[in-house]
Amino acid sequence: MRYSHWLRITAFSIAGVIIAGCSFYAARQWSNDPVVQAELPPGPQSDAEVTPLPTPSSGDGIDTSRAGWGLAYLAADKELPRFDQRINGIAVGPTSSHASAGLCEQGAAQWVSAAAANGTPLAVNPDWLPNGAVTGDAKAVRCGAAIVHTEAAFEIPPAPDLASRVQSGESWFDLQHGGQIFIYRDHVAAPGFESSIASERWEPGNINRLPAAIGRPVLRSEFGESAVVVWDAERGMQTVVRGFDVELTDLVALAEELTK
Amino acid sequence: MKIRLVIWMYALAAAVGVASGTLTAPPAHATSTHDVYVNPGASTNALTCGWHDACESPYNWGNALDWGNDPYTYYNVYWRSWGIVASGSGTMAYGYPYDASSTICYGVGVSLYDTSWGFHGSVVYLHTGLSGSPPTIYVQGNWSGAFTSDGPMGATVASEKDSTCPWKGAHLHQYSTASGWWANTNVYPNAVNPQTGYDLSSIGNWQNRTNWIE
Repeated sequence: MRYSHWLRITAFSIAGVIIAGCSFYAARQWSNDPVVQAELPPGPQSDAEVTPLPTPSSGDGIDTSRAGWGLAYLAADKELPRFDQRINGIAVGPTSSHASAGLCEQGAAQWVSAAAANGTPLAVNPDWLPNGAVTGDAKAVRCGAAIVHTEAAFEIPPAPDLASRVQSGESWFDLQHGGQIFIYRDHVAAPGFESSIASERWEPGNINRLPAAIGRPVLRSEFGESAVVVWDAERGMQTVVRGFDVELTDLVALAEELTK
Repeated sequence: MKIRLVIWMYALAAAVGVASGTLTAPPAHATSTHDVYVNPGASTNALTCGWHDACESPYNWGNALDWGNDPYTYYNVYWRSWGIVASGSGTMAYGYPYDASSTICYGVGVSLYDTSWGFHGSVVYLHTGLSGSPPTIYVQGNWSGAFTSDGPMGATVASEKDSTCPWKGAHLHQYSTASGWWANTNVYPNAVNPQTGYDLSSIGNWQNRTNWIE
């Protein structure tokens, strides 16, 4: 009798613990359910869900709080015409290219460290970099005894709290969102740069009194690809500063720094 | 009377369970680590040069591998990745293709963005011509790992843009940007060490990876 009494209490207790445990688990699952958490709608899952948005005018607001917000603007930019053209005497466009200076026999070019270009006109050693930029890959090409090309990459990592701040309504444009910069310097016979920047975004410019072709970014002077191509005819030297999600003024400042 | 007491006790147990479960659940905007593992994009599983900067003596280390693509048969270059996120599933990141050609060598790049359009570096396929309509990559992720394959992003070129491009013949030179990325040195050897037989879609055979908290 006494034995069955304790057995019954134990069974009831176990059932109670199971009920509490199941309730605990169910409550946590419910709290994690995407439907319950659907404060931020999911971004596009395929191209079919992206509706191109035309470039807004400077006064229009851009809602950057939606997941994948950039895709709609890039989709609209893709539809703009791209053709080869000359800007300030510099060829730019999808099949444009510089005219080779013929300094290298086929197969004679060799990668060397970027330091090998120090002291030459093609050196890439800017005294100034955009805020947050870190140096990435940098190298040079040697042909015989001459340095004929240099290139360098710089990366800007995003702020660690970018996602939460953008999702809570702060504008992507006001935050450190990350980006990358490439610099290419060459001895060439005539200037030119192959680029997929939309033709209407190219305009003539002037960098340290040298002619330049400036490709503006897609949105607000920083979203998407942009480029500055500078031609120094006297030295037969071309400098390209190319950015993705970088302020155009920063690219211009780097181009000025390199060609001064 | 006893049955009513038992029912009340069970109801109390359930209430305690629900309350503690709700209170201890992660907040709605809980952050979690997003890991993207990018696999080789080659059409052939022949590794022709292990980790290097330029595959030339003295073979300095770099986060690039050379794959035996050619311009005739095994020419396509694909995006392949595995995505892992602690909670949720679906598109965890976007890969946006761009022409990564320098002034001297052809290249295809894919910039990796989180869903808030934070930039997390790029993957570059050098000596590759950009496809006419390269797809935007909707990088899939979930807790156990989701595989994404798309493309072709481009094709291995038969000749280079300019004679100043140091290029000794057709191949795919694949690397990621340096900052915040790792190289899979456990699987792939240092230069030169050509090897073959890799499963290019296996999560263990990732080439470069990165992660972020979102």
